Order: sequence, then C-alpha cells, then structure tokens
Amino acid sequence: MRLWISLVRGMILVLLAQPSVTSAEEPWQFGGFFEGMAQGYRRRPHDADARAFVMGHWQPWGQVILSQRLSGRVSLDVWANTHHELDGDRWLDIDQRGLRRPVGALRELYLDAKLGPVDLRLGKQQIRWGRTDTFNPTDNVTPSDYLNIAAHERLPVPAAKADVYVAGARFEAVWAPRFIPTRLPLLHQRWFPRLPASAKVPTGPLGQVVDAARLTRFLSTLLPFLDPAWVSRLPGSFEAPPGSLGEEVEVELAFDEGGVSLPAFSLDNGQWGLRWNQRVPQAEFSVSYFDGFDAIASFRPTTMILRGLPRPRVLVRLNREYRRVRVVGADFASGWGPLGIRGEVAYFAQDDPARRDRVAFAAGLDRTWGDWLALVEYVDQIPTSRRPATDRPGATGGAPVFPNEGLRSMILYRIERTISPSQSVELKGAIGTRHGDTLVQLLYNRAVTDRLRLKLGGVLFAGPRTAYLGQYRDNGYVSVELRYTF
Amino acid sequence: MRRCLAYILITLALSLALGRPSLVRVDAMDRALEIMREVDRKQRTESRSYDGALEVIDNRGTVRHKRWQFWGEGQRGESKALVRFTAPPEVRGVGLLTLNHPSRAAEQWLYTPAIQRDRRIAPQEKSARFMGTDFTNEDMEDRSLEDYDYALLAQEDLEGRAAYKIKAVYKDRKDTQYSHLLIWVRQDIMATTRIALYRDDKRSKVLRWDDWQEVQGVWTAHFVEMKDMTRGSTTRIRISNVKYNIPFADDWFSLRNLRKGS
Repeated sequence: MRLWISLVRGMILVLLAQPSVTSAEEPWQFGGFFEGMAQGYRRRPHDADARAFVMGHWQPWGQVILSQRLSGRVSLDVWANTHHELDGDRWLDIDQRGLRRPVGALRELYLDAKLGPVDLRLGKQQIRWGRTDTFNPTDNVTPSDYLNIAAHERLPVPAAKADVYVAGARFEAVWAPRFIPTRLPLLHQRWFPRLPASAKVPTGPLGQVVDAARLTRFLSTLLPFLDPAWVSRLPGSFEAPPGSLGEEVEVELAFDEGGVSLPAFSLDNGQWGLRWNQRVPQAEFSVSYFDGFDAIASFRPTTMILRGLPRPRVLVRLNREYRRVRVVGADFASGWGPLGIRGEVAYFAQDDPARRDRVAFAAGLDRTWGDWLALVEYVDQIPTSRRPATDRPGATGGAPVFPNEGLRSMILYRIERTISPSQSVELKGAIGTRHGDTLVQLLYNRAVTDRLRLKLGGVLFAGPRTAYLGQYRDNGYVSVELRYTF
Repeated sequence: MRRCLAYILITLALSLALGRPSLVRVDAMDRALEIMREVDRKQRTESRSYDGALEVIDNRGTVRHKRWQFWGEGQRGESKALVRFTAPPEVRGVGLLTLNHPSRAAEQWLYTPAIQRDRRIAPQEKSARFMGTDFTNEDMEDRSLEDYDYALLAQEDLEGRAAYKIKAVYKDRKDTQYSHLLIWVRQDIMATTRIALYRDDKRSKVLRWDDWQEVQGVWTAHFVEMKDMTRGSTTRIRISNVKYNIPFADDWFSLRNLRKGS
C-alpha cells in the first residue's frame, strides 16, 4: 500500500513539475457561449407538432493548466426550448442516457496528462475518428444527438484515452466503460418516422384470428426499424369483427415508448477501440478497430391487443435494446492534382440478428480556389448478410429511419463562399441516387461583432416518402440563430 | 582590350541566339540573390515568438479583431511555425502548424478545438484565406530563398528611404498562386519592408512591414499590413512581446502540441 502511495505521489510531482519551455498560457481559462435559435416549419406532420420552435443553449467551460504535463477541463450544457424535447427533472445529468435532452448536463469533465510519448485523457470527453467531411463510418465511439436529424450534435462519453506518439505515427487506445446511446428523435414528433394509425393485418391460419406474434412480424415489414425476429412476449389474439371477410382485417394502431435495456455496467462489458494514424509525405491514413455497442437502438416491439372496442385496437410498445458491434475501419487524406481526396471505409459486424453486417464507405474530392470551396462525396452501404424478414420478396417496407442505414447510395455536396472576413454563405445537401430523394441546406453566416454571430438558414427535403430523405419532406424549415461567445 | 571586347560581344550574341540570360541579367539575378541572402542573414535567429493583435477590415470598413500567438524555429525553407488564436472567444485554441521543407512543399494542419479535429491543408487549399484574414495558407509558409529566381530591377526611394526593388518568381509554378512578387528591401537596415504579390501578372495583394525596432540585435517590424486589392480588405497586425532564440521542447512544433488546443 505504501509503495502505491509513493508511486502516486511521485507521479503527481512529475506531472506538476514545470519544464523549461516558453509558455504564455494562463493557468485558468473560462469561456462559453449563449445561443438562441428559432425554427419555423411549413407543415405539421403530427398533430402535436408546432410550426415554430425556439431553443436556448448555454455552454460554459473552464480549463485549468496545472503544469505543462497536467491540465483539466469541464463544460456544461444548459437547454431551454418550447418543443417538449427537454427532461425538466434532470438539472445536472452526468450520463445523458435519457430519451430526452436534460435541462442541464455535464458535457465534459476530463484530466489530461502527458507522460513522455503518451498523452492520457481520463473522463467525459468527445472522441472523433475519421477524415471525410460529413459521413464518418469509422467514428463510432462518441454517440450522436439526433433530436434534429438535419443538425445533429455529439454526446461526449466517459472514457480513458491514450495517444502514443512514435515519429510520424500516433497510436490511439480508447476504453469507454459506460455506454451512452445515441439520442433518437422522439416518438410522435416530427423527426420520428410517420407511424400508421391503422393497418390491414393478415389473419391467422385458424381463420379470422390474429395473434400478437403474427401482428408484430407484420408490423416489422411495414416499419423496417422494428425487429422482425422479435416475437411478442404478450401473447394474445382476437377474432376479426363480424362482417370482415377475406384474408385481412383492419386494426387501429397506437404506439407508445416501451422499456430501454441498456448494457450492464461492468468492467468486462465496456467498449474499446484502437487506431493507428500514420503521416507520410503528402498524405495521411489510419486503420482502426472498435468493439462496442451500436449506439442506435434496435426496436423490439411488443403488442397488446385491446379488447371491448368497436374496432380491434392494438397498442405497440417500442422497446429499445443495444447490441454489440465490431467495426474495422480505415481512412486516408491526400492530394490528387488540384483536388483534395479523402476516403473512409468500415466493416460492421453486428451481434444483433435483426441488423445486417455491412460495409459502409465514403469517398470524396474537394477543391479550394480563392474564396470558394467545393466538395463532393459519395457514400454507400453494402449489406454483407441478410436480414430474415424485410429482405424477403414482397415485404412492403418503408424508409430506413436513421443515418446508420439511411445514408445509402448518396451524393453529398458542400459549396462554400467566403464573401468577406465576416460573412460566408454555404450550400450543402444530399441526393439519393436510387430514389431521387434530396436534402438542400442553405446557410448564411455573419459575424455581427467579434463575439456575436448570426446564422440564417433554410432546410428542404424532397422525394418519395419511402426514401430516407423523402420521409422528412414535411420537415423543411427556416432558422435564425444568434450566438454570443464569451 | 580588343580580345576582351570581342569575348563580351560573342558571349552576348550567343546568349541572345541560345535564349540564355545575358550577362547583365545574370548579374542582376546574382546581385538580387545576394541582397536576399544578406536580408536573411541579418534576420537570422534560431527561434522566435511574438503576440499578434489583428484587425481585419472588410471592403465596407467593418473591423473584426483577433489575437494570435506565434512561435517559430529553424531557418528559412526548413523552419517550423505554430500559430494559435487566443481571441475572439469563438476561435480561441484554433491552431495552424506549418512544417516547411527545403526540397518539397510545406505541410500544414489546422486544428479546430470545437470538434477536436486536426485537418491537413491540402496543396490546392493554399489560396484559401487563413481564418478569415487576408493571409492565405500559402502566405503562412516560409519558403527557401533558393526556391525563387530573382532579378534586381532598380534602386528607388520608398517612403523616403533608399530601397532595392527585386522581382522574385517561384520556381515551382504549380505550388503557388502567385505569378511573381516585387520585393522592396530597405538599404539602411537590409530588411524587406514591402512585397507586392501578383496573380496572373496583376497586383493582387501588398504586404507591408513598419514600426521597425531593434530587438536582441535584430531589426524587427512591429506592424504588418496585408492589403487585398481584389477584395478591398486589409489585415493589420500589431506585434508585441517579440523574443528571439528561446528554447522549445522537442515536440513543440508537432501535431501532438497542435492538438492541445490552448
């Protein structure tokens, strides 16, 4: 025990020792921003949706530099909005594992230590991998906040990260013991997929009888984010109402949030990853491996058949589960004549039988000339295994819901023009090459003062509702954002 | 004397016939290179650092303020430089690392702390503005003297002081946005005080140094101005806290240090 105490004391003394290197850093630094944003929508896809949405966000941070070898940082998120996206009961959420955004959350809290060629970061932090512009299939350690699909943020994770520098190489090792899921759009709100109010359900083999398991399987063909392999744990059946003949019966559907099964918190159930970055003349690349959980929930529906109503009514509970995934990835960036070239590829091996193993990749070219930047990227995902139900012929299917499966066969683009030192305009978007669905985002950015920035934007979705981007075509909006940085 | 004259005439005739530079031009080139070497020698230090207070003025007269810290080490053409913004708050921690190489293009990385990512600046991005200033990424490089062809054009008065006027053309035309530069070297302190940067033989920008003070025996400009003639904008830098020959840790000019972000 004494030996351990001596070792820890020795390490603290080494970390606090000031080397003889010029540094103008202040030991304490504070900063942050206040942000106000208003969005106006043209349509209301759900009755509960509003046409206007106002949000406030305060993100203060503090940093302490104890020595050249030891420093720490803390930052918080405080939110307010008009759209019931917030969980008002959570004022200082450490984990951010809830379905809704907490009013207050600890965003980052970490300690940085420099030990010879090793940089160690311990605590809640953001870990970003990948080199392409928009779609990074190798970037799986830090989950996303998809409350708004078109403007998503990242959710830092509690982790230990070591970077080892050897000549032109950097080796990264990450261990994240506690899983944080990606925050998905809320049920019955505009960014969640449209759910049917009724459906014609095939009757069972015993005549005019529908059982819950059969109903669940049917729903999973209608809504591809539901797991078709899941069999209801609430068995039940109903007889078709008098007068309904044939092989189908119409039932009313109601959807509700079910339970969330998060992975157990134990040392052997953590997530980990390794990455080798190499710098070579005029290029850089990396190879990575991640063994963790798919941060996007698998939905396991359970159905409850409500009796005694004029028409059969079924309550579908959407339960969320998270299964392990292993990702092998690689990326690179280089130049090709007057063009920049970037690429990224990852193979996803899923533990979840309802999800397909797949190869996802992005490859892009960019060109800068004067005040212009143009960038184009092609992204695709190729399944390497079959999913039992929805892949079968005749399955009705709908649009893939989240970017993990939705960004398929798409061209992403970005054109940026710097108008003056304080103004720029950006046009970016996506075009689905299979279904012709599109996303167009226009953003005007102006520094009003050195601390105040104004952003005016517009987002437009188009295409068939069965396509990934087309399903959001009622969600086009214009936005005004003011950010004061201090 | 006759033999000497004949030799000169034959050499001139051969030079014209073969399209080679004349003796007069060769002399002008040699003299210009000699001047530039002398400027370099006078400014030579092992390492350097300063604090910069920037004013970026757009064509409407709107002024934006920024601050950065600069650290540099090594000699022209093979130097390393790290620039880190300290203000305004929204760009605090943004850094640019430049590694200049004598025989190949410089490498540059930009680190953005908000997304905790560093990004290699590709060669084709050299003409892009550096963080909203009138400097481009290429302007932040420090190229070797030998990478240019020089010609001494004239000796003229510049703001009341005698100056050499030198034309410089970067040899690797693919690796620059500029067709040529006109350089003015003040003769009394042998320091570059003005550079006009030409694109497609049109004057595109003018870089000017002023407020010269001697720091640790080195004549040092405490005011730098880059004027963009095309955009009508100007960036001015007030320089303070200049230090020369300071020690740096081995990894100060590294991606590792760039990623520290503050």
